[in-house]
Amino acid sequence: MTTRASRPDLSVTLAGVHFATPIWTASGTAGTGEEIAAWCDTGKLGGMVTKSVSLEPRPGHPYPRTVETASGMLNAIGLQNKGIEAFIAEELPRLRQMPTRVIVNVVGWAIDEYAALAHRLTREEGIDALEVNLSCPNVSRGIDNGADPGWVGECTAAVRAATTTPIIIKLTPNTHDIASLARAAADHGADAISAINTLVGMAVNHNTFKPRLANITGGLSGPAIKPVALAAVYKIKKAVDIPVIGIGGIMSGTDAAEFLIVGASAVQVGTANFRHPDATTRIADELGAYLQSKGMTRVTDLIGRLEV
Amino acid sequence: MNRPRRATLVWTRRVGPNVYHQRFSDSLIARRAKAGQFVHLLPGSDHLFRRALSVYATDPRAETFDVLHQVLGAGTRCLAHQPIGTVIDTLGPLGNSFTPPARGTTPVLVGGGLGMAPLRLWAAELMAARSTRRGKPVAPIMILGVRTRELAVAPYQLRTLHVHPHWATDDGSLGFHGTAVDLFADMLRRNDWGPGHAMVYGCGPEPMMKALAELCIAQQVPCEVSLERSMPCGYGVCMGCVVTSRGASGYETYRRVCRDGPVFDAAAIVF
Repeated sequence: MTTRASRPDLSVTLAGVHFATPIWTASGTAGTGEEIAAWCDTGKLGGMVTKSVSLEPRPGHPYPRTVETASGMLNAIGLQNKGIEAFIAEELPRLRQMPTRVIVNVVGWAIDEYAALAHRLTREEGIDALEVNLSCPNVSRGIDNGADPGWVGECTAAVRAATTTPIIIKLTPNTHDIASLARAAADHGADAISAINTLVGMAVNHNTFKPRLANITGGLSGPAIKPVALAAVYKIKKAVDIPVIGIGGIMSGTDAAEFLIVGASAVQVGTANFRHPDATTRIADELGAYLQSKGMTRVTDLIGRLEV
Repeated sequence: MNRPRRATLVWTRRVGPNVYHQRFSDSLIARRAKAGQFVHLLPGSDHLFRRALSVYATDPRAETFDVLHQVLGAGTRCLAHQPIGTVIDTLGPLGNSFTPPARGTTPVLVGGGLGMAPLRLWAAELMAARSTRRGKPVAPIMILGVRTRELAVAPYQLRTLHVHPHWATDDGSLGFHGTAVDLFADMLRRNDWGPGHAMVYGCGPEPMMKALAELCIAQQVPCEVSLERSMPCGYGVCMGCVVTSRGASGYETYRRVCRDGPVFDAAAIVF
């Protein structure tokens, strides 16, 4: 029988911030916090990453915005959000009250916009880290710039200069060399890297001959991309010394464990939240059970244990 | 805190071409579901996402709820062919519900195809709580449109409610020859259903809801429509199921069908 004393310690510290577990929600998959809080105990979450917030409100793309594909989904939401001032006024007070770490994901259309967002949020309390989205596949610059190491370095430096809050740079997999993007971020002041964002994909209706997404292309997520994400984390860990947060198709505790073995210090759960509203807490429980089965008392004992 | 439910499949009946009526056992959903709300069913472990289906009927005493759905792909096919007794991972009841009509107002329910599902439950609720108009109980008027007679599924479910629908078929094989909205327009002309006398509730394909909304707006009859969207999450986090909505100031915005709907004031939707 499991006793409270024998439960493994799931806590991790990265970028100087302590997290109760290494299982976070990924950006855009937990609503404004209140939606997911109705279904899962957010006190058991390591952290909650907000949907991307931009300087100005964005309506997002027209419907249809999502398609289910083999072991995955395509989305082209288009960064729908209320803009930074409405976010601070309407959503941040509620997020601040939640018993979990809050990571605000920011997106801009130019480097000075990223810096302005970071500067603005630094004045607000209750934000444990910023995640800088340099990789959304559903807006043209998300890919055009996010795959350029020079731009990634320049943007990271601008955000670094604008804030004292820990910054996590979220990278795109839509590149032939994700390690060089990670090096650019690390060399210009990033506290951590998160990888990966979604892969560009497309679905077509063979009856109507039309694309299934209004935006034609979208971002592929879910179990279909887990091998790509694991390889990205592996390459990034070999390239940089800062912590990496693994993202991509994590549906179970053992999926999370695989990312930690490869070297991730934490993971983010995205598409699984759409299937099960309590996916993050389930996965944390399963990770604990997995560690017990391996005779480990701390999750940190698992990180980077890859044998090659 | 909400919890996923474990609803047990009680029986499945094929009631039309690729159309299935299924009954599930779950005390909470049977007790709480209101007309317009939906359940989100995970068809099986091989499927990534759930399928959103309107609640068609409830029986709180027997602790069951019913859905009516058409097999459109692998997910609904899997659901339709699950063995009796299968436990289905279910969220619900989700979404909002229809607004009761003002006292004395005739509720007119206009459905197209399987859009009849939430309207059937609404008819049951309205029959159970009939108001009076000029001293007489006001029963709902139901207008249902289908392409052809064989798609007029589950009329027996309506007979048990003592609601006798007016049918419209595209090919004239049953009832009125034309669409449900054409029939409704015809009935509007012949009845005292103007402003203050009727409240319209619609559910069906989006072009039909657009036509119904335009007719009701032109005739100044209040109207609510229940909308359908592809829904990965069903509880408001993915932002996938949006519809364009017009705010009070005319500002257009996207609203989530799963959490802000699925029932909307027809005048607020930009079709």
